[in-house]
Amino acid sequence: MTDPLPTTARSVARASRMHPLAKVAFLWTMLAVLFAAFNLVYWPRYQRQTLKQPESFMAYADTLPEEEARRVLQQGISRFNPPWEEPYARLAALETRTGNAAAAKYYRGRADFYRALHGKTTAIDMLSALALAFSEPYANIGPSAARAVGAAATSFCEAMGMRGLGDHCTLPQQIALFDLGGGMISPDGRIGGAEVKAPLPLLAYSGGGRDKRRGAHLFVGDTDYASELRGMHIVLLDGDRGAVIQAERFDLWDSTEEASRMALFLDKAPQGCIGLFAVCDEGSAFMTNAIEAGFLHFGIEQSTFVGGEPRILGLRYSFAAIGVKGAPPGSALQAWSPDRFQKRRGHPVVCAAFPAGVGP
Amino acid sequence: MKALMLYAAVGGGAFMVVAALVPLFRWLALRLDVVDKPASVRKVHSREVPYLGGLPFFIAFLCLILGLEFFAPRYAQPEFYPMAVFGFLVMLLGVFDDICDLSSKIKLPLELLLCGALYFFGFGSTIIMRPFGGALYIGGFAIVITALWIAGVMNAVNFSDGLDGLAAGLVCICSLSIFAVAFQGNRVSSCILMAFLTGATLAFLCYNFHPASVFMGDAGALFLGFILGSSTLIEQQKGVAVIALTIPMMVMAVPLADTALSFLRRLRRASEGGFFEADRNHLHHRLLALGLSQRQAVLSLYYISACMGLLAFILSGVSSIYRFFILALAAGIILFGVLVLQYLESVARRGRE
Repeated sequence: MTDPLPTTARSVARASRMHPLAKVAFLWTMLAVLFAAFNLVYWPRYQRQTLKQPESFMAYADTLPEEEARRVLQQGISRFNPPWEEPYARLAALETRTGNAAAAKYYRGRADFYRALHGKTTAIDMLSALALAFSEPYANIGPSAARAVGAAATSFCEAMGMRGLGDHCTLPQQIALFDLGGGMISPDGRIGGAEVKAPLPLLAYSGGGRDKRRGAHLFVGDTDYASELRGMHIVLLDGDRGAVIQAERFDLWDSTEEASRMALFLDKAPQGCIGLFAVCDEGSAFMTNAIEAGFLHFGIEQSTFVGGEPRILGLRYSFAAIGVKGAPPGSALQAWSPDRFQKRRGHPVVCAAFPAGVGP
Repeated sequence: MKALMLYAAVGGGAFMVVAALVPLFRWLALRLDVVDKPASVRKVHSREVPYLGGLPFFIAFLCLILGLEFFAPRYAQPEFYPMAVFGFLVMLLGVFDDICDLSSKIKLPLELLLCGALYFFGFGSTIIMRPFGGALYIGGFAIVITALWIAGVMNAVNFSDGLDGLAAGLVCICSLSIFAVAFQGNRVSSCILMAFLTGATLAFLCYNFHPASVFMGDAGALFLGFILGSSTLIEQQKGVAVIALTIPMMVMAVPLADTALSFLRRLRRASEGGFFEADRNHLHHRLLALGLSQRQAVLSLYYISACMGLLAFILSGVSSIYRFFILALAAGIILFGVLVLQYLESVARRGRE
């Protein structure tokens, strides 16, 4: 019978004579083989997992048959409002192939909007030409909205480094452009599916977080209740008469106390009141679950994805919304643009409700 | 309830894998003669103890990723894969250091490079939370913060690996504290990683608590620190979109304070070219010098770490006004601890003289 101890002792003696680098090489090889085996199993799954991430919707759509690709592109666009033309152009092509002419026209319009927006020198001419094709639904909104739309157009142009939109486009054309930029415009004054009609022309404009784009407008009739100060600007107004109940700003960049104050403000807002919301600079750093719950009561939904999770808005997003307290989720007019999405900068957004027949 | 079951399964799984693999790697270390010889004055053990006890942590981590993918794909996080890739590189670095004793002049830049690279895989944020409220935009400086933070935690765990069971125990307490905070905030990724660290370190403590039969070595300590450091940055794009560094800093106060003190000592020696030289003045060495046994020194550091973890848990749920008082209290405790230690050292020195 052999004694195991001397064998171990011999092998230890042999091993100790091994060059240290040989030991390192042995252990490294062992670890590398192990890691390679892990990769063999996991890598294809990881690739699939990455591809299925909400942010990778473009690459994922490429791997799918047309009908599925269409659905994935629609979902991706609704979640991220990608600020460049490619996703819209691809979806427009798919919509054309499926015979959905109206949707194809809309997405082609959005693709053209981003092409024009990024084509700096001729942007304004391209945009005004584009707006012509989409301005028809807004032809009868009346002149009452002129001041609000004008202010929003001026701010939009300043933010994007363009010449005045107002000089080149008519009022309906300007509104049509906001619509193509992902805005939510209600030409008859109805606030989403809330079955409430705006008593006055309402407009919420958010410039988001890029330095030049800072700024917000909250127009109730002719009066702008927002300022150039950072944070989430909110106006609450009586749903029937249009009287302003309260106007407040919450600097969610500053502290968690501001977040608590805002959650309480949203909670105490009377049922049935109309809320206008616009972010100036930044309005999400200390966004808490309580605030998100407060937003949901206004019919605002978690329509974007941040870090793989549904959220109302992300860091330095532009965000504008008009909702009714107590309305069902998803019924509010809600628009947003990311600060950056896949290295592309976002842009200001507009939400508006223009009740027909209300004069200046 | 489902989530709790998952965390229990993750912790239990990590425990079983590490518990099963440590004896195997101990045997391998003995065969290869990869042992820690009590040669230098820094070493407190009196006999040769095999290294490579930390390699099972890495294998357990790979098992965790595969396990989640196969059994709970809903909880599989894409961020875990970059952690595995860079964790693999950290392991290679640690193994090399265990066998060839790599100079800190080479090791530290490599660590910083590996940790900084993680930023490009979604770790870290351009916004950090100020301890007393408010957010701070740090832009591209975020890469530096990410690198310094993860490398700092890695080295903190590595420096604390000077007594039997100390590093593993401290990581276990830290991960339990962070788990409690993350569980309260419903942060799934953090909870999974912390449950994993708790299970893995508890299993390792079965072999590593005094008298230790195996050491985790630099490979294990660096890997544990890497997972601990990077996991605190993993949730930045979710929930409140800012890094709240105060909580993990307080949880890891003991190893981080030791690292900071060591850094200050090294700075003092830097003029004589001794910045990269290790010494025997770490907190645990100083407790031993006061006459505490290994077990007593380790348990007292566990106790302080647990108190800090509890404070961090309280801190996570209070507003910025109270946060100031709790932070001041924590800083006071640390300062008081250091002063008491210095006083006891001077008393002991006078007694010897």
